[in-house]
Amino acid sequence: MFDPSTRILVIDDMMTMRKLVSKVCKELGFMDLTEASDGALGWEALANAKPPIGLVISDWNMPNCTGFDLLKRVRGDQRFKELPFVMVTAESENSQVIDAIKAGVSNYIIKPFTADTLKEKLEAVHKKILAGK
Amino acid sequence: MENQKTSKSVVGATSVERYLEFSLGAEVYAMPLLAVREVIAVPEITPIPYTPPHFLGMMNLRGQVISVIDLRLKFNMKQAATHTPETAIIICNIGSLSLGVVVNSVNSVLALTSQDISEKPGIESSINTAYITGVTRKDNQLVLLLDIGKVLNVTDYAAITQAAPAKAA
Amino acid sequence: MDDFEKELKVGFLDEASQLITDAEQCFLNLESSKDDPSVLEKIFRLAHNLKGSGKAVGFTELSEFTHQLESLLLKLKKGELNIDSEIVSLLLLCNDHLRLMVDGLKADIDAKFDSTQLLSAIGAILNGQAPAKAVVIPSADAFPEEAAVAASPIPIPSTQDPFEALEAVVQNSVEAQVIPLPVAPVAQVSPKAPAPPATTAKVAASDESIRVSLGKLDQLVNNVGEMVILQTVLNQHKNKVQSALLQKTITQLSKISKNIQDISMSLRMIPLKQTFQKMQRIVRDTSKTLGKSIELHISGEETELDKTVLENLGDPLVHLIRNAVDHGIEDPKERAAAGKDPVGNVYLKAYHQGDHIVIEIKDDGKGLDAKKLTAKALEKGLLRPGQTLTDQEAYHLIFAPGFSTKAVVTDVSGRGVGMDVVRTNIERLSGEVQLTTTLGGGTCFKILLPLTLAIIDGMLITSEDERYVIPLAQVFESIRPQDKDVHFVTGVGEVLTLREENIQVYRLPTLLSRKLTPKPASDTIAIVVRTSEKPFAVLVDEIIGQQQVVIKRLGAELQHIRGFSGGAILGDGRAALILDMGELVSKTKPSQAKTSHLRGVA
Repeated sequence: MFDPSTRILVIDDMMTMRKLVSKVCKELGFMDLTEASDGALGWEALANAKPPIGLVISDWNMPNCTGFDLLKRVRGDQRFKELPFVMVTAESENSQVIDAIKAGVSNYIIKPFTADTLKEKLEAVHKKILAGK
Repeated sequence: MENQKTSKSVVGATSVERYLEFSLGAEVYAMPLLAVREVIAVPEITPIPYTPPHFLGMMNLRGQVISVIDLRLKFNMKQAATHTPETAIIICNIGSLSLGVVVNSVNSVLALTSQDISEKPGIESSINTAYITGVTRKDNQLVLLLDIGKVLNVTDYAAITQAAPAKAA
Repeated sequence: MDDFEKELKVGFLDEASQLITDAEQCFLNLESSKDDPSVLEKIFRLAHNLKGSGKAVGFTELSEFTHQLESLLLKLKKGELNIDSEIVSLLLLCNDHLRLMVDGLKADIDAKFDSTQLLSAIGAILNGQAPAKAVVIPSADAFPEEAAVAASPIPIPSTQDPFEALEAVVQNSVEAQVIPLPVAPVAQVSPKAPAPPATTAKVAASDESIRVSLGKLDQLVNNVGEMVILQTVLNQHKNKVQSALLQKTITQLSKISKNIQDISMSLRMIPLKQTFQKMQRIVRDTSKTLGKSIELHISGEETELDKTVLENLGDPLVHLIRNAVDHGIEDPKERAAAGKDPVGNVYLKAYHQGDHIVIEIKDDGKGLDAKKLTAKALEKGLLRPGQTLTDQEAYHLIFAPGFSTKAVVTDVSGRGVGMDVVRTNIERLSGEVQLTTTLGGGTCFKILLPLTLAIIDGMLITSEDERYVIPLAQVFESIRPQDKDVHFVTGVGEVLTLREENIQVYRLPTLLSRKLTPKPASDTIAIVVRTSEKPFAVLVDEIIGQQQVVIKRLGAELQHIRGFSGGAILGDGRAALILDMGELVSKTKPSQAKTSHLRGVA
């Protein structure tokens, strides 16, 4: 599993969702959480983060820059090619999910979700990273 | 005195209610301590136009503007509003309202059980018995328990409205 | 319910309220900006966010409703349904319902709602418009990811992890379709691709604000008020202080006090945006009912007003707007006949002007007709036969109680409250209503409001040994009259001749119904007030000075008395009344004044 000190960036335009995701992350033992309220701000936070962000959990549908656009941007940047990027979405439209997979999302999670679901997803992401190395 | 929670305590099976006893003219009254916020010396009072005579005016209570009334005038007592060093203002909380009530003197706090309080008899006093919730005795002196909310309620609003001249008609 | 859940729910409801308000404008714009995808996008996001977060925090009903709404919006977005006025009306109803639910939940976190009617209306449209597709409206349970996978048109190998399954499918399909460049989606985004919108100047997101109870804020404002008063005392005595250091400190302290005062005042300020947006809806609904075509032009919605003022401004504004739509703007036919564009215009503007905030409600309708108004007043017995009025006076008849210019009381604006209530409400906010009108050209109402209610610049005066505060905003000028300038005119009373103008004079003790010591005018000061329609002067004994005072609400037992805007605590700690000159004068019978026969028009 990810180290509890991993810096997690939570991006969602709904404060409620940010709080909720952060809370679930805290329940999983993560301590270093950063929040952003849309994709554009998320990018700023990601690009300027010191120490660097170790995991992004982003909403899909947001103003300014959607989670999908952010994902493409992240994957297009050499620094973030391998950055674990989990998309949170309420889309039951799996065509979008497929787009996200094509664009290199590490995993996706459909809200609402429980701590257990997020944990499973994160473990799956972590396993894949280990397998990749 | 400010801690309202302690004003009602249970002794055995009988509940004790605490009252603040004060003098108005020659008569002795008491009001539930729960209605009392604090007792202060009489400050400078600014008169307010268009109010009935027992509205003495308004005062500054630590930044809050509070109306002050004189119950002696309200009850048409003969002994008018003379101020002595003992004269005090009881700041009462009536619902969300704070009002200052001028009294001749504040005497003591009475702890009364229901046995101590008798129904209001056909007593002789200067005031409307509707304001009296009961009567008790202290050293052979009759103490009238005053419902301060009733005294100052609706009727006074009406009085103020009437005191103001009718709108340009 | 644990604390976090509760906090989350409360936070969600606040956020939801804001979202709904933001979206309201978009709902209204839908019709006019059909081609602008961003409008629909924003509404879609609203529904989407409410659905997701609502479900996440446990508001199932809200979530189910927004889910259905989202389905409808999705069809609109995809162009499978056309945006017509019926759909817009339905969407507005949905928006209302959302607000109702959110407000209801705010009051009672376990509140239940009946959404069946709207849900079936949406369902009917979804089904009716796309019968062939056999729309499956997913139940609220469709959120779990199984549903997403199950609905997939692509066969999915049954693995444990749906993500891996999908990923596998994608990989397969990518290969199968022989898409060149396996990294195509990434490659499309070169590092030089258009960057997301710059965000440096972006206003702090909502999480950077905290919620503070209004009670605490008022406490702060009260204390700052006290501080300002003490500062005034310090400033007044500054010169008595020997030490230069102390003097300098007082000066610096004074500046800081002023800053703190400004900041604390600004905490209560809220932009007009929400209020203005409500008007958009009112114009739309009202004009529709009346069969008129009207455009509302809004400007200055970023202007901020004190929260209390804003809360009490809503009703008068609604009334004025309805009035403009109903009485101001003509029927399209009438407009065409007059050579006007059949589409009427209503302008709602807010801007700063000196110490005031002005809210302007202007229409390009038929304007007021002084003759008709006068005739009406005669008919209603508000005027005596033979009595003549200037046009300006005639226009002000509309503020008289029980005066309605339209013969038929319409469903729209004829509902009990009249312009007199509008004026009273505005005056209660220490504001005033001005009116200009051109026959055939339109009418303009201007609401002038003080910037803030809590602290005012006051003029401290004495009258019969009592001190009063007069808001400086009401004082046009103060002069020491000469005896020859003040005459007694039979049938009118005292009149002050000021630069060839004759102004009605009142003695303050008379206005306050207190004992009056007769004294020559030259022993008094005349305070000239021009905030009302007719200027007047009030004679007081002395002016003590000017100072800022904090308006303290008078107790409920005094609320009924007109003429006082509140109490103030002066530098010496004593309380004083703040007078409202206009109200004081209007409350005393305008004895022999010309307009005395005009009920309510003084």
